[in-house]
Amino acid sequence: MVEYTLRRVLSFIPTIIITLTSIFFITRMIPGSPIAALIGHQAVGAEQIEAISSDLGLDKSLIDQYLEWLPAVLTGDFGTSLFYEDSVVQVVMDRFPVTLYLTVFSMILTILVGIPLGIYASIRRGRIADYASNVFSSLGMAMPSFWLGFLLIILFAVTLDWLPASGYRSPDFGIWEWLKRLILPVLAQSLAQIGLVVRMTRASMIDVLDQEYITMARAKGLPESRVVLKHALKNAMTQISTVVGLTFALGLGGSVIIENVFALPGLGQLITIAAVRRDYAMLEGGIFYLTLVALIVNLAVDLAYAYFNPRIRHTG
Amino acid sequence: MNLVDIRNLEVQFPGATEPLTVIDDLSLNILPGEILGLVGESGCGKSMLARSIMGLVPSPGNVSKGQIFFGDLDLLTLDEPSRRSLRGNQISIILQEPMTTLNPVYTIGNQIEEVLKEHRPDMKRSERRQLVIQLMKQTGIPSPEARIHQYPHELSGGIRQRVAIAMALVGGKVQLLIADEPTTALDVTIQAQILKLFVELQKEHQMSLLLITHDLGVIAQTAHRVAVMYAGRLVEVAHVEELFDNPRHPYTRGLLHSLPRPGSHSRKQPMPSIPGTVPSPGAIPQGCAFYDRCGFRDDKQCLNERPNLEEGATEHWVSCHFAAEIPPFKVNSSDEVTP
Amino acid sequence: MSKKVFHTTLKRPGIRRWRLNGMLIAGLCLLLPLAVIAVFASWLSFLDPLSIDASSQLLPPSWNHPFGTDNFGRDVLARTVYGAQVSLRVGLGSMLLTAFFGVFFGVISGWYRWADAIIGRFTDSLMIFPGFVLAIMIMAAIGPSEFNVIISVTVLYVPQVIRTVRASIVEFRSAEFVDAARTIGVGDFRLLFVHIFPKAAGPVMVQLSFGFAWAVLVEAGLSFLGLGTPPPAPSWGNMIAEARDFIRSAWWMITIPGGMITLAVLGLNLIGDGLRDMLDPRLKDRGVL
Repeated sequence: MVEYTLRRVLSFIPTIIITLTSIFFITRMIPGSPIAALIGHQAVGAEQIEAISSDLGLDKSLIDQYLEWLPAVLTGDFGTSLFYEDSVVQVVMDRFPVTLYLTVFSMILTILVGIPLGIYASIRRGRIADYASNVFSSLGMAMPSFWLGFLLIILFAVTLDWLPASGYRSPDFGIWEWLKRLILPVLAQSLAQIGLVVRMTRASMIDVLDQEYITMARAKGLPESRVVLKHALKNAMTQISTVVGLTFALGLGGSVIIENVFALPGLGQLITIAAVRRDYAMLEGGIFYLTLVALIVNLAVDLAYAYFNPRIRHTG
Repeated sequence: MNLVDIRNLEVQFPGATEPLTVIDDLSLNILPGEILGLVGESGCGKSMLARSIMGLVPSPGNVSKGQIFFGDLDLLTLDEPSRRSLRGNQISIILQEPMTTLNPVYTIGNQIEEVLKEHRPDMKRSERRQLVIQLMKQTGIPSPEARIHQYPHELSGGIRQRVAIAMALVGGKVQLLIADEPTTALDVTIQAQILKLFVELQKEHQMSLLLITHDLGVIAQTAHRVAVMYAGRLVEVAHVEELFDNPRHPYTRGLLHSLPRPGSHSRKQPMPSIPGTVPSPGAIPQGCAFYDRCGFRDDKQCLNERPNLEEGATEHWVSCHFAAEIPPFKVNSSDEVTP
Repeated sequence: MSKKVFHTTLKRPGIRRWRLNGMLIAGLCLLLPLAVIAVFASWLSFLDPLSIDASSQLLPPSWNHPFGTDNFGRDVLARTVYGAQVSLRVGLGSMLLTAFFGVFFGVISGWYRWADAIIGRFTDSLMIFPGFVLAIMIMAAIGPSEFNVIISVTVLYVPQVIRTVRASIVEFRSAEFVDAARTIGVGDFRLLFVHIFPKAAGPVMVQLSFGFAWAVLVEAGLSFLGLGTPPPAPSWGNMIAEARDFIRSAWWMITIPGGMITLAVLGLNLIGDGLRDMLDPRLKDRGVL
């Protein structure tokens, strides 16, 4: 297990370089100069444009730009945002906690609701509870999360007036002030994830429950709860942990929209604004850190997978 | 006094139009301390019978009629907790495929010990460990102290099956051990060792063994009594010598004919076999279930009337309309298997 | 062999096919009306989705405007129908492109080891990103337009199809009929696309129908953020974005396009489920899709 962990962590380094490289080439290889976005519709002389270009290093070849850029970002320097006029990393770090709270809370909710519901559906296979959970998860996966967000706002903020419709306060303002602004975003973000986790949990549990060792566990006289929760669940967890990791990546993508709906000042909002303004440095930094979170979660999932599956642990 | 007494058992599965009967009006007893062989082709309901005794008929199947007595207890009327307290404790089962019957994500020590945790909650951890190791020794697992920390995928098929046996016996109060094709998945050399182990353990623990197999060779080596099953019913029950010397049911005779014997067949002749296959539940003929494949049938009685299991000679039960008329059994008269 | 017979008696006899096909039928029932109305919109005499009418702003649903009007007095029904066209075009367009590139590169990378290394590296580096983030990145680079949404959905989804196709091709690489075809001199191209790929087409079909649903969601999301279909052209996503300031006063502006997305995605997912279960019920258990 130690060796496996080590190997897996080491393989992280090339992944990060690949990520950065992809980000660089996707954002810069395609036509559309950030200068145009920067100066807007003002009439500007050619000299001035040239000056800005060389300022930003845009007059060099793409490869030269890349070779300068990569070492810089690897040491944590994504340059300066064109619009915030502040170090990209600084801006990103200010926004980072909001996104983290949103994704982590919705992930926790997803796991706490999705896995038990999926297990329950699997043991009630073909009965009403199973169908009900199927309808629930299908609807959850079909509803766009941002629309669900508005529906929640209409219900809980506008009609019932229980929770604020949007905005954010840091925990310094008090736990409740902080939490109550996160409840609706977390709910909106979680529903689709829960749907996915319910379905995958159910499918892998059903797969496992048909195995001979489950019959054997029953034949040993174990109560059904132990058969399901000890023998079936741990086997199903190998698949479920993969799905949970996948869901997390999905959720990070979804958080971009949710932050826009609820006006949460997180990374997602930052990325959208940077994308609309073509603030490349900001976009690159924002996307990198968001992706980094996804990668770390992926790593954690792989390790969890190895933990649940002794065959991986031993053979690598 | 019987250890197990099955009376008129019927097991059904819901079908598209009407329920499918996989075990039909089956009565059978198991005596204390005997090895009862249960033979029949695959799909004839042997495993379902085993699972009925265990109370583990897979959903949506269910026992629709009959009684199963274990000593004085009618198993089918017991509530789930009391049935569970018997399972793995007084009635144990070993399944065919040792590869798939052990849970891949737990150590074998954990899986054997679990039985004790469930049925002997008073035992201390160290006592449990000791007992597990002792059982593993008894079932012939080398260096058990090291093996308890291993996972199933690290063990060979033979050792895995020994683990399954240890798991079945560790409760210490086993009166009935059901072995469902315990050697089918193993190499031939290992098969013999495991069978020998079964016979030894059966004597040592003074338990009854219900040995399910489709291999008459295994039965001949180990069983005291034999029950032959066909399409969800018993067709013949007798002591092992009697059954091999004087089989009365055409199906039993077919099975015996298709048993390879050294020197009994010319190499040029094909191995005799019973033509056709077991009818699937729902497609069983109205009369005798073996009608389509029988060499002795007539078109009136056999086609329309289902034969009952009747005691022809002492302790020799047959369900065939022609049980008395069929000529004495000769090994080489294999032409009789063709209908 | 003989074990199989035993298991058929153990497991519930007869897989309930009607229920599985039921999903396909339910999906088609949800989707077909939407698709038909969208396709024949110009013949069905809807109002002009772009015509602004200051005198009829924010009217609730009525006989003249069954889905009400928006803040510019535009007919929400007409906009919804034309929005359906956008979703259909994006879904269909991106899935056609995805099918083409996915199958082509998937087959190549499953067959030629040298290509596998290159294509594999490429798909891996795209799949690192959380899907929607990659879409935003691409849209930021190439600018908001309906066609660009098709491009970015394609880029996002092609790697998944490549993987599926590659896996089936690898499975067939050593199959006997392949050796047989080779010995009688069938060329690589013919072998791959005529003999091998059709056997692997099922999972791709399933994947594409889920991809279609996903494309509808991505288009809506991007348009909502202002990175997809640019206004004033109606798309379900930008209709929701425009409606956000009126959630207190005009519920119909926001509920209707969102409801449509939900129905369309639900229908498409049901079709995908139905197809998958018809093709191979085991795929679900293997968690392939």
